[in-house]
Amino acid sequence: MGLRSAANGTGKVQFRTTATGPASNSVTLQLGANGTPAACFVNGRFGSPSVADRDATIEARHGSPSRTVGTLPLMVRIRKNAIRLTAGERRRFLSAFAVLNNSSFPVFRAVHTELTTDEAHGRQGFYPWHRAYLLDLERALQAIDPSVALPYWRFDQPAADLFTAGYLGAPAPGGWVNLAPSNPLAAWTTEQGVGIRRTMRFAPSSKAGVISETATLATAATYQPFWDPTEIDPHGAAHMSFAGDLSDPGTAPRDPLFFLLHCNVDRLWAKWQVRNRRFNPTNQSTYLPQGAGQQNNGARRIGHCVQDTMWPWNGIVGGVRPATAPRAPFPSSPSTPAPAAKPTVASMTDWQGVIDNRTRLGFDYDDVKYEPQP
Amino acid sequence: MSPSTGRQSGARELVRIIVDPDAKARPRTEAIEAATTIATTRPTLMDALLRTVTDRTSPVTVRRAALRALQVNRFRTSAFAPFQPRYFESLRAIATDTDEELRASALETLAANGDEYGQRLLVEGLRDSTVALVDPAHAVGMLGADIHGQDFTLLRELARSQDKTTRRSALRVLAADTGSVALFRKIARDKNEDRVARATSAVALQALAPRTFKKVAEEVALDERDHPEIRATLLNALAHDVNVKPSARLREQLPALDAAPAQVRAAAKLVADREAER
Repeated sequence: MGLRSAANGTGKVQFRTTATGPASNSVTLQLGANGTPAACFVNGRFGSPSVADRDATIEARHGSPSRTVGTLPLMVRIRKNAIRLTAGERRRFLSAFAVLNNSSFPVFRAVHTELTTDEAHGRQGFYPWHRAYLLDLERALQAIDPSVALPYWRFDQPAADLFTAGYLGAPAPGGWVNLAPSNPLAAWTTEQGVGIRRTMRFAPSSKAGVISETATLATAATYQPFWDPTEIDPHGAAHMSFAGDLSDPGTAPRDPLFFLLHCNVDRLWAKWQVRNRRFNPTNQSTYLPQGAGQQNNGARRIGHCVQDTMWPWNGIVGGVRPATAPRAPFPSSPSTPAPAAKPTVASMTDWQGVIDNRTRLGFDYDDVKYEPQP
Repeated sequence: MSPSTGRQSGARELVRIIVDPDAKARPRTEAIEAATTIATTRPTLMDALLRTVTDRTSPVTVRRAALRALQVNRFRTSAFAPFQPRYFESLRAIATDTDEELRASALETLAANGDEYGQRLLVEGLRDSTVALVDPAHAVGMLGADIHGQDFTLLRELARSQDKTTRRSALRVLAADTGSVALFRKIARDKNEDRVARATSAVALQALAPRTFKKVAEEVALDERDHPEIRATLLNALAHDVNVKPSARLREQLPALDAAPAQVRAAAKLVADREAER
């Protein structure tokens, strides 16, 4: 029996007979005479993501000459550069976000306020915590429309298309962006009112005031000296490229652009991980501090050590943790068992499952290759 | 020289340049940029930045650079926490600065964090334009980040402003005011009203009074004599509202909207598609 990725689909997949073996566009499997199934591994082909649900197909072929005996439509769902989405992808993303704004989005905002920022900022847990936060939101969007993936705002390049009335809002007098009547975000509402408060401190045709991706990735080869300056620049610098809600840690998630900004921050961490092969959470070059944290507010504050579970998904309140835990437990996914309901910092490091396929988190980026380690 | 000593002497040199009153602006701003990613680990650098922000004898470009460096570092919240009280004192000191950019930045952060002084300055400026520190539309938006009940009275007055931008801003922030439902209902229905004000008012009803919103939205959406832009906005809002189910009347009338202007047609299709998914 052979499996292959259909040639006529937009999305394409590859096959491996073992989790870390070489990939190919087709595979031949030996099925047991009594119908015992044979396993193989499937991943999206780099450079061939889907643009809609079910635009990729796996064909099962049998016989001589070989003919198709079955097909399985699927999606190679990938986080993409926001300005490279098709019109359909953009519409579906904005629609899902608009629906979320009317349902559980206030809870997401409650997780990232002035009272909760110590869980996620100023210490090493910055990258893993935000990876979990984005994944939580993305799964909520996918519960509304499974074809949606979070796009990223590539802030070190011009992205004029993003700052238009049909997308994330065009600059307008008074500090509120202009959104077209047909834009699903036109009814965006938060606790501070109707609309999105954002003023750009750079021209839409220019990049934001941040260091380049090249400079970011070259910062350091081990985690501690990589995280330390990059939380400030490009992350903090991207936030401060605006006046309005994005410019304050407590109000930033009121603006939907926050999630595209952080998607790029996460993408930079992912690219850094692939470049330096930093997936093993027990390796100090991948993450520090190791071990379990302590309740006190020092360098080993609980929530920032590799074995620690992360608030709010762990449901723990009090002590140095905030008084409530609005998003507990972590939502499950139909496509992967990871992370657990109370994710640890460690569970955010091998997001592709290159060491252990079971730890894959079910997302990836259009320009980050998947290369499992033998 | 040990790495630690080297880093300390590097920080000392940066401090020296940043606070040097005789240095030109460019080397000072370059020193600030070089200091930005290490500032929270060097109290002397933080001190230099905080002093420079409030130093009115320094060139404004240098002061703005210092403020930006502090703002960027504030996103490392737990590392920044020891400096926060002094940072907020600095913001209060520059909230009335002669430089508009500095005072707007300061007031933005003060208001977002519930600082009474900053909020008071904004309210005073809205009541008396001769003491306004930022334009009224921005002042309203800043207050909205941490709105207090007593501010709604002022905002309802501003919702009658002749200045369109100010009025629109006030209506946006009044969406948190349960006392403004009647106002929003009136504006949303009035065909002679500013279209942005109408759209804002209808969306405000969506949060404040969902049943009233549904009634007004469907009424406007089905009115062939109303502006296509408003009709499309409200249909769009209905399509994405998980809390409100379109009435049987609207569902029956959706096919008739195939003859409506393009943007109304497109929005009606969204409602129909959403209904099909339900």
